[in-house]
Amino acid sequence: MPIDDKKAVEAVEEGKDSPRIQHHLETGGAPLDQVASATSGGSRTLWRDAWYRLSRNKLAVAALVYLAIVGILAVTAPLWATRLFGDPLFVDTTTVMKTRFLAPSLSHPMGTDDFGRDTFARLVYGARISLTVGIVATFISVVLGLIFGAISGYYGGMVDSVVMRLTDVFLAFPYILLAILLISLMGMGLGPVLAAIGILGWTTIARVFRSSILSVKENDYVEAARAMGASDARIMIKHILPNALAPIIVYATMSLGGVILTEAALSFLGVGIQPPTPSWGRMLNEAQGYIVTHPALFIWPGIAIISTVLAFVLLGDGLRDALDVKVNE
Amino acid sequence: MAEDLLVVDDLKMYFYTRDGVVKAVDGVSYTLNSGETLGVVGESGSGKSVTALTIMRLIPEPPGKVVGGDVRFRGESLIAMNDEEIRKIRGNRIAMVFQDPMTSLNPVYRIGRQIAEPLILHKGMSKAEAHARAIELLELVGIPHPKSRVRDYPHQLSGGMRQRVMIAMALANDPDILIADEPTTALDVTIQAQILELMEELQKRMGSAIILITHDLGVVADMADNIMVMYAGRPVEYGTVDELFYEPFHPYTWGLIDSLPEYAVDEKGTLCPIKGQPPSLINVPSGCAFHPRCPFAQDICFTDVPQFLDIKGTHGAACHFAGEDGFTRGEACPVERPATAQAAEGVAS
Amino acid sequence: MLQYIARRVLQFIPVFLGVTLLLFVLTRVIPGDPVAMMSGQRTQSPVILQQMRHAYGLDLPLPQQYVKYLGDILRGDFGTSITTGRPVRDIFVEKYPYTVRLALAAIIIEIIVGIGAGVISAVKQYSFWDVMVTLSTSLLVSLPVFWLGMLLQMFFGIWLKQWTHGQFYLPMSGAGGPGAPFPSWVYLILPAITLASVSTAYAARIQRSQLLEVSGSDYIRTARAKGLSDTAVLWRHSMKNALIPVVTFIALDLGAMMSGAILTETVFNWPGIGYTIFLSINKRDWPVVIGATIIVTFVFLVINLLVDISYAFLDPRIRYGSSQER
Repeated sequence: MPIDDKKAVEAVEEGKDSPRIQHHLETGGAPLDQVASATSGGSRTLWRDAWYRLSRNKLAVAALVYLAIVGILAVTAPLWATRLFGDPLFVDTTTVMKTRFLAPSLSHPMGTDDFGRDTFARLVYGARISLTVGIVATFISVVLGLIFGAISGYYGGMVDSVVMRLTDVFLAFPYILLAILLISLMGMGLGPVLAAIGILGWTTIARVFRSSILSVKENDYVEAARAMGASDARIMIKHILPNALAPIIVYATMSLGGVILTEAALSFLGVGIQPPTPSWGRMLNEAQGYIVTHPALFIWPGIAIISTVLAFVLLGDGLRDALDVKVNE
Repeated sequence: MAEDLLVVDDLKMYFYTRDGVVKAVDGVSYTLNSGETLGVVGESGSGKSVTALTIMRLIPEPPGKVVGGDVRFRGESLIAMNDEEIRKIRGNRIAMVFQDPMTSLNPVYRIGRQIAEPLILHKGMSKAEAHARAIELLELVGIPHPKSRVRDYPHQLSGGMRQRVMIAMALANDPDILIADEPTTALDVTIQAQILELMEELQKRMGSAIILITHDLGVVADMADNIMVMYAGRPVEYGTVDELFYEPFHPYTWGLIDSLPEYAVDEKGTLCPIKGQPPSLINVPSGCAFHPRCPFAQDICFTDVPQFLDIKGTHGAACHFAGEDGFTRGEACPVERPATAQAAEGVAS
Repeated sequence: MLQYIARRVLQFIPVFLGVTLLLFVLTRVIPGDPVAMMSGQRTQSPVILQQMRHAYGLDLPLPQQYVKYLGDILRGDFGTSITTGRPVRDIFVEKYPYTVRLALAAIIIEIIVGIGAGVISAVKQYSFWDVMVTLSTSLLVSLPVFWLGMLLQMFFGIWLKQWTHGQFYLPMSGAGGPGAPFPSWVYLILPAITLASVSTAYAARIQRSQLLEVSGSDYIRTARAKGLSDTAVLWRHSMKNALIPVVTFIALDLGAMMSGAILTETVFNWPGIGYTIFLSINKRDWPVVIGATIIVTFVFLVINLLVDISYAFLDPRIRYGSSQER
């Protein structure tokens, strides 16, 4: 076989453990990594390597654990919340005057709110909303971002320009304002919130994916794959996507925090989740009137938001270090 | 007798890192006199650059630390100086030219200003005076149209021109010593020769001593008066340029010479690279640091660190067998040469 | 460089058109008959409604409506408020100065505190200060801005008043004015701090990481080798390079703040354009919403454009094009 073809075949076979991974392995890292590779023997994938590095980052691990706890509480809430703490949504008007604004106690670890509902239970239910919005909206953004980024990066030229101008248009608006407008169109509630935040979040992912594509497009192994007859989509999925995945994962994790903040802001302004569904932002809105008399009402949801968002930020930081990503926007 | 301009005396510079102690410079000694050129040769990680940076005190103190030895400039210890004192030396009496001119110049300042900076700083010139002198210097280093070029930004110049600017900047205050750290490595081959020629010419004109650091023996062959070969932070051979090329003592030096296309003579004309990789400076091999790659290594090389000894006048090496009868480079690649008379018998039979 | 500027300006036009188009589509998609909304609660006879429709050009085909709409905008006519009957332009002129004042105050805080903290943090890496800055910036970035606002209100507006028995406290609502207990600038304090907080955290982080990155550069080593003192190296060489992205960030931030900080303004009842837009949404006063949004977006785009152009001035590599032999 002539030299070039042989190289091409090698390049394609390398593709599944792409050059980037090889380079990553070669640049090594601490001797401990070398020990790990010596003991694990066989192939070290990028992911196992990254997982190893992540597990050494204490903050990121703590964040992950915290999120797992919150997640479990949130998912299982319907099973135990009402039984232990009373209905977080429903107001029992007969008892409300006696049960409102109770101080923290065993039966109400964080006290009750202005309607006699247990604050802790409401926070947990709020977590359900926040995590749902976070995950679903981010998912929508990622899907949209991948599609637009793919089109833009792969086809280049006029198409690229158009898509880039489109991102500029979206980014020209004040973010919250546009979200509010979109929601006003669609009506309030969970669905519109998910859709609005999701739709607004595609721009950065598209840009990140596009730049990954651009930097990889000219690589040898893509040329080789094309020479062997692979279709565009196949090249995109098998060769470009795995490389581009790392920065997208990092960005998605960090933006999850931002999504939660946005949802809280929208609910606070009254355009997001509607009562009686407890969303953290909603709870803050309701707490506004009681800042003077019962500040606890606005402290707890605030702490919930801060800790959850911070966890995502720290996790994202840790992922970025572990995956050795430099995201330049 | 000329006063020794620069004396490096058993200098030891270690880096204290999370993964261990890096013995970057482990007992280096040499002397430099006015107007001389010393070539310091070695692979990446041999400690040749770190030695130079240590002389200039440019190594950040954590994690680096001078753990032993001294550097004396005109009798005064550079290591013992405080910040203010060493700053008066830098860019003034001892100046440095770095490897990559692309990144070694500040991209947001015009080159004229960058050349003028050491003039204003050390000679107290006014901006106008320094600017005029900068134009002169640009002319000196062979940059055409210096009056207009002086207002250029680094990115507007080619690699070779940038390196000339670096040289102009270093020579601005007429230093006693110019340290050139791989000045040509990042440049095209044709430009390399020009830059080296320029440095030689300027040296003749200005009388400065030069420390020329490189991994390429070919570069020093022309310019150097003396050569020091370094390996794993330690000196392995030192001598005049003739001594080193015609009668090298150390197997590593043989390897370096053999790696030069001009010198690798063997009927088939094949090149003879030194096998293996430079050692980790955290886990330096026991005994002679070169022993894992030395075709002539014996048991003693595993266990005992060879002392650096003068073997013929000031020509010395750090090898247990240096200078022994028959332990010479020969004409062809290492694998065909016996280490000692004994081994020669073994090979012959 | 002229090429660069020309390109940027050319990019501006389609983006602005895209913005107007998007908003135009939104106005036509919003449920409800605009004319019926405009006449408010009173029901009108169909004939009058039809006349109104004609007067507003609502019976024209959509593309023509868009052109008319664009024409109006370019002439400075942004519609009329449904609730107050005032031209949107007048409302904007009245409210916008408040937003600008708030934005400027916040930016000043951001510049001083953000750059300062970032520089100190980088210069004294790993020190107590650095750790504090890193922790607090991580925290601030996770904070809901409006929550911080409420927190400040609680501390400085209410508790401080209680602790000092009504002697000393900061106002937490509105912007003051004639007859108010405090001079106008005092009312700026809490909202400005709130608005600046998250951005300052970002600015400090960026400044820190930029400075650290630059400090490791070869040209910094060269500067040291020339005998410059650490201070001189920092301010003359490192900062000049490290500041460029930071300044860009802050300028873009200014642009964002000038778009009306809805959250901060709402929490503090600050009568800026953000608060106005928000109230108008609640009142379904769409002409005000859309009109104000267009102006605000235009300002944002212009500021972005100016930032891009000034970037060309700041970075000689763009100003004088890529390397070339002459």
